Amino acid sequence: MQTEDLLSILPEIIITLVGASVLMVDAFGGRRTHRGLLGLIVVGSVVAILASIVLRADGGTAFGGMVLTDGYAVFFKVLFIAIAALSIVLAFAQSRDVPFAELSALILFATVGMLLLGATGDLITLYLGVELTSIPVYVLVAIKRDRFRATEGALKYFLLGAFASGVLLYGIAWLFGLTGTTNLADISLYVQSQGADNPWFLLGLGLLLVGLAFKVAAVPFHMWTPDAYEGAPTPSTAFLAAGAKMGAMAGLLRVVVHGLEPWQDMVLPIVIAIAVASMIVGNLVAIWQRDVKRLLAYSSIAHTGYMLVGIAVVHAQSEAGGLMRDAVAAVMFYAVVYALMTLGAFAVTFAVERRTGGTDLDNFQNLGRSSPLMAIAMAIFMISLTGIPPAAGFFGKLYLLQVAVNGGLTWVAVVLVLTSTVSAYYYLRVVVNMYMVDIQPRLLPVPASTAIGAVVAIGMIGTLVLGIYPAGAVEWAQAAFEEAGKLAISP
Amino acid sequence: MDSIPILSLILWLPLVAAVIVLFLPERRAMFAVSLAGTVLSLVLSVVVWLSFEAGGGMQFQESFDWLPALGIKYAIGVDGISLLMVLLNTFLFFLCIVYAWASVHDRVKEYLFTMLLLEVGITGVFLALDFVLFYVFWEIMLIPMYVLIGVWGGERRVYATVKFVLYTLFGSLLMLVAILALYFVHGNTTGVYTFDILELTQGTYGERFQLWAFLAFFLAFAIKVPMIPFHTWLPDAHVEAPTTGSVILAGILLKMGGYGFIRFSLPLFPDASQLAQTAILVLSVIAILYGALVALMQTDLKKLIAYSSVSHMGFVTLGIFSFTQQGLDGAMMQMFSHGLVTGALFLCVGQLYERTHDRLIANLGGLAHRWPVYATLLLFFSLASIGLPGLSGFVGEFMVLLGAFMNGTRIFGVLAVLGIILSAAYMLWMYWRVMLGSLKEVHSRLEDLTRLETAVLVALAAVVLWAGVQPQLFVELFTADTGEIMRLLAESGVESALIR
Repeated sequence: MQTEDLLSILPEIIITLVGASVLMVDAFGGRRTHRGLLGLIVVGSVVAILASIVLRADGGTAFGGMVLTDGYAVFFKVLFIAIAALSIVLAFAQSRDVPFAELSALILFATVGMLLLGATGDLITLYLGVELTSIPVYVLVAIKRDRFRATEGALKYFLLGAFASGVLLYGIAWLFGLTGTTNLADISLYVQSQGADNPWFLLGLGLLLVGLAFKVAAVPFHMWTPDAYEGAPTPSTAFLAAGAKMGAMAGLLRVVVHGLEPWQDMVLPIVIAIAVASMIVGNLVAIWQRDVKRLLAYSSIAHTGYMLVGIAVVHAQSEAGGLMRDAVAAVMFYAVVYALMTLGAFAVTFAVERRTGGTDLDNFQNLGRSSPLMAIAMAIFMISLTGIPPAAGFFGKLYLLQVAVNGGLTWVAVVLVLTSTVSAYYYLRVVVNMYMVDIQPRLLPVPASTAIGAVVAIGMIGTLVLGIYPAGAVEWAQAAFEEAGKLAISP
Repeated sequence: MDSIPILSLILWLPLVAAVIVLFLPERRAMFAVSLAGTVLSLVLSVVVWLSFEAGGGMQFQESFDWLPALGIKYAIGVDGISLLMVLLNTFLFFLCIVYAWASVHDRVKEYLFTMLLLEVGITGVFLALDFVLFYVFWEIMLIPMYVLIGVWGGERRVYATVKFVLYTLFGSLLMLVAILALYFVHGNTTGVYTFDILELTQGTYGERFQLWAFLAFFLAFAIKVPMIPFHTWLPDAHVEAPTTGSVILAGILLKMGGYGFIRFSLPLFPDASQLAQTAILVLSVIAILYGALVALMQTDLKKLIAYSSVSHMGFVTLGIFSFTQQGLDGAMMQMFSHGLVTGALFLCVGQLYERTHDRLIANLGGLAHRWPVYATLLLFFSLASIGLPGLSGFVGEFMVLLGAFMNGTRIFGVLAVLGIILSAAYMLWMYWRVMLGSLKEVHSRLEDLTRLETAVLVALAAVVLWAGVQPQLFVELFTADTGEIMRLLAESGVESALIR
């Protein structure tokens, strides 16, 4: 181990240290220190973001190829740290009801796992990242341990999650047994030279994909999602959806880009099947949800499906060229957009929950009159999730559709737009409840806290800015891929 | 004139006004600013009209990179076809804001914001020269319309507005996939990957691809027009929408469908258009007759006008798919005229409803005794709707019929004429039942139109008369551009296009 190796994981180290010190300070300082802790976390996150940008080594690897420090990793590091910080800010509004320090520390530790997932160059790192993300998140779901729904959701999530981790590890073991290496680039090289006719490869690959599909909540491995999302305190849910899930997505995308090219013919049908199933099931089941958190849970399954469409075409043939770059950049751009609108939507839901005591659709009634700013923000998030301009969700979907059509998957693009039409129904129902129901405005005992307001504002501004001027973010994603692509081709 | 981005000003001034409105406390000030925004847009579009060179192709073009990574540009421009629509649009929005000054009191700020946003979206659809930009505007206008019906609408407004959004979204999202496919098909054959509408319409495409893409575009436009059997959202939306919502819906939103057929379907997919011609002509004639018959049976005034819209828009698609110069020009005139006349009729119904709080024909009667001014204006617009010579409705319908007769199979023209007779029946019968006869006791104290309301209707009437007496002035504006579309059709071997 050398200094460069340590430097390359400096963001991870910073976040770990911040998490550890949060626990220590809280143990000795108690409740009075919460405000200070929040400051520490925000400052630590900014430093870690700066560190990841400054310390990026173009196309570099560390720890013998186990950790990559390319633009792709940096892109996701910046995104994940920001998501974690925003989730913690959100949780701050609730610091009386839940142990704020523990919750923040857990979010930070899970973030370390997510950072590793974005930087993974090896199946072992992948597994490490997945577990490091999952275990704190199980606890996050159950952090209100006296609530029945919380323990139910957490137990389901934990049992199924532990099983999925086992499946993932089993798949990794198969691939190691067949190729003699866990390094993604080496696996790819091995198969290029030896061929991939061995049917056992399919087993290893399948197990690997199933394990990851569970973590990104894709159908048919999504059963835990609604219960976990509903049971967790809302800030945890926000982190679960925008953070942990995107972490697994970053890992999955990395595996597909670097390791699976020779198996394109096997991987493509599997990923497409999962994507189509996720879009259909997620969007259809969401129609029947009355609880906004469950609704967003099913919608998040659908959004997983949309992103999987981009992942499916990474290695597809294209006459126009540049498909791999565009496919990866489309998924990366969508991850940013999804994080912004999901964090925002959960933040508004959280505010409503604190005011009215529930997250049912009825609790949103007349929000347009009683709290116009929150309502307009929620409306923008719903429009964005539907994919209607001028919100960022439109460009996210447009880019994914473009790569799907470019990759010859026009029929999948059609499924995507048809299920999006269905999604308009349930997203708009939230808007209907906020603006178009005639009842007396509810009394609002709790004013919105600055913390929630800040997260909502960031989400709303981000959604609108990326919707009106997406060029900057798209170009960043494309540039980030150019470096990752170099690695994939010449290991 | 080159240095001033005049089209961008027309497009974005309402948005500027909308943002200012958000920060104003007073109703008067909010209306003043909104009015200023719409008036400026209207004045500027008239300026464009005056300095417009008929037959000069796309003019006043502006183009900037928007999302270069995906080849998307902010490109706008006008030719005669879009200019007429923009003029109609800015004119109607101006009148709607004037009308709303007297009639809208609930959530004024939100109302004005929504209306102005709607104007931006619709203007953008007609100006866009980049396919993605076009699509963005096409979708953007969904949200304000959704809000307009959902918040200020009648009792079943939620049902109506959700139905409207889902229908429209369904069609337009499929069109988005077709747009992307077009981008790649054009790029793969020519090596030029672009969303430029002008460049894409010059290309030629394989028949199989044309058929699929035509179908996707067709769904989007047919739902907007709306053609039978995609029309069921329209009566619901109209009945529940507030008055100005109905005016915009009938006046301009429906025109986006017709505009789409003319601007995109014909030049992009000539072979597919020809294949679909007979089917669409049949659907058009069904729309004309069925819409008229259903209108005849309506008991609700707004529904009656809504179904008459289905019937009148049938003439538009009939004209377009006759593939003749006269038919196309007639479709344009019919769209222009229908926008003015039906807009005016919805205003009349709105004024009636505000006074009587009733739209059921059976509960009304004899109102002409109390309201001489209103009675005159309603009669004028009813006659314009029937297509009385000398008024704008006649020009469009006559030219469409001419085109339909010139196009080989005359049966469509013959059947469409029946629609005009039926329109006389339902409009005059409606007028008789509502305005003539004996006055109901409950209505005996109601006041006639205010000066402001009269002014709005008279302004519309003046243009209707103008377009009826001097149609050449309007036809000259776009006939060269429709001629260009006919030329593209003829080049691809569409036969009836050759008949001039």
